[in-house]
Amino acid sequence: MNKRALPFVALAVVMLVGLFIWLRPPAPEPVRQVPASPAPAAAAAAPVPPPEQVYRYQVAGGRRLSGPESILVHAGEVVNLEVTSDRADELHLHGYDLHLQLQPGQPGQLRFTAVHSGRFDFELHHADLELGVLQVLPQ
Amino acid sequence: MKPYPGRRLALPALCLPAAAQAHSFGKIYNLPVPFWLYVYGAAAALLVSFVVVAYFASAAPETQERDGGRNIGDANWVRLLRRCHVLTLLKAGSAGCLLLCIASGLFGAANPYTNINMTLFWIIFVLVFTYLTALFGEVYVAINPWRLLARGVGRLWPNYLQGRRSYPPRLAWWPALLLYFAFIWIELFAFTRPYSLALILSAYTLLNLAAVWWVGEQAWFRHGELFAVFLHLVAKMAPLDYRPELQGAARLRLRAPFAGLLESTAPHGTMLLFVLFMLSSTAFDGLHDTAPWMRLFWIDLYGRLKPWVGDNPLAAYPILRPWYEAWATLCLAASPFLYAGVYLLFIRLSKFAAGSVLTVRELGLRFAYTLLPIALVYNITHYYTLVLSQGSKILSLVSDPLGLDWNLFGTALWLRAPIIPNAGTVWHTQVGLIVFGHVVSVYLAHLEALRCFPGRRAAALSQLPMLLLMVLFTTFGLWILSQPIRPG
Repeated sequence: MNKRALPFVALAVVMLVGLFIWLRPPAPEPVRQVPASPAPAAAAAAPVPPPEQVYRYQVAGGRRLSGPESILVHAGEVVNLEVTSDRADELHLHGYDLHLQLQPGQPGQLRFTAVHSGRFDFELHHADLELGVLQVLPQ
Repeated sequence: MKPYPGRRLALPALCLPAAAQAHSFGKIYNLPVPFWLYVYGAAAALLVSFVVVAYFASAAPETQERDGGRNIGDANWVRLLRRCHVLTLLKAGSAGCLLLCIASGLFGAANPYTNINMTLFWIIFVLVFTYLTALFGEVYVAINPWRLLARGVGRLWPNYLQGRRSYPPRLAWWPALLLYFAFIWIELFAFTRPYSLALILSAYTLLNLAAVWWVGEQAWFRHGELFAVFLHLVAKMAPLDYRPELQGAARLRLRAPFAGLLESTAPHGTMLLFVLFMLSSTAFDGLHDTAPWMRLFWIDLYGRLKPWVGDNPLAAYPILRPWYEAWATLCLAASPFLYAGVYLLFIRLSKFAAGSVLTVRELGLRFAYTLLPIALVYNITHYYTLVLSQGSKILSLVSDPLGLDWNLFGTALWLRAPIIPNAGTVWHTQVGLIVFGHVVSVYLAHLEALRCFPGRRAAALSQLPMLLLMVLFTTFGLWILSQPIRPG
């Protein structure tokens, strides 16, 4: 790299950083009800437990009868999936690699803290049914 | 995610398992890039492009940067590598991996996640090895498993490697382009399993051996074997230039990263199409997972077809499914030609702006390789999280390649949980990489323009249309990353 290019590189860096600061959305998400605790990881046992919603699914004949096709949460929140299938099956959440055996007709609950952000499918292995998708936004 | 009218209609179709597969193998755990970051990436690409133009316009580097790099084939560390027989080991490893992919697919577990061949081929070879080639150069030319196999056959069968006839010049790079198309189609639509992957690899091996018998080793691995052509292009970006056919120190050369792209130009129009297909196939892969793409067919088109296929989407789905696949295949096949149309239009504008006497075809070939950095970063941004989450599984898979609960090297339980980087990190890396690739492409195109057009002024003028073209490609790549992925 020659010397003459340096001011241009500096100019480019200044422009990129300036643009970034200008466009970046203010404050990280005021939506969260949880007061900013010092250690949000391992939030399961935090003094103020985050609001916990149960997402209920009904499956019969290899089809989803009820339940949201997509769940949107923020990282650190507790997710509770409750699945009732008319046949014995296995629930699998990709990425987190969580499995849950389901008994016919009995609701099974998969409860976990959404620590990884990203987009994760969950499916029923025996019915080969993509039940829904969990989207975890970063904090 | 914006709700759209009639979305309900598409749901039954999208809930069927075959329709919900995103990629032939492995899950991509990415969230769409947020809108503000998408705007940032596009604006940053545009701004920095003009800084590059200003740099060249302020005073062009008169010393035509014909920096040939430095030959390091005799350096101590290279000798050490040679003394350790690294190349022989790599050759054995490469041929061994191909045989393992075939054998484990035929005899191992049917589950794609427990059989090593899916991860070894789709992730380690197709993705990781490509990125390594961009760093370390065209090692593949020496360790190509199909070439090694052909040479093995050549030892037993004299004159096999010469071929029956000379390579027909009319074919140019069509065989590689067609095979590349077949490869992408298999990746996106064939839903390979360990067993079918083994069959495909066996068939591809036979095809290569037959083609070598027909046109000879040199011609086939230059024009036909798709990974040889693909990695040859990728290696042009590497700071190491490896040429085993040369003698002595010149066998290995150190050069500026990406400088290799300006050392040669595309030899033929089919090579230009190949380069554009590298761009358009990755764009298509990203696009066909998004909600807008699904909406196009399953809502807009379905709405018009209702009089024929009926109001009930569940009944219409089996009728429409093959049509959807034909339509997607057609779009994929048309994509490089569409890109070529846009590309040549901008080349024409460029020629006009610079008042050049060179033909559009000649200029199109000369600037083709400057698009490769954009293609490489497209690919990396699209797949690098897959490399982390699924590629890391290779550690446990080597101990249990067939999925039979073995533990050959004691690593069978390593890294069982996938590595999932924070979505914020992923977004920033994606946008950062795309802007970086864009800047490199703009910079290289300007250097090429200084060679093609007389004078700094003409070169700078010629680059305004090119810059617009690259901003278009970059913004399109970013737009795809920012789109909501289709539901479930």
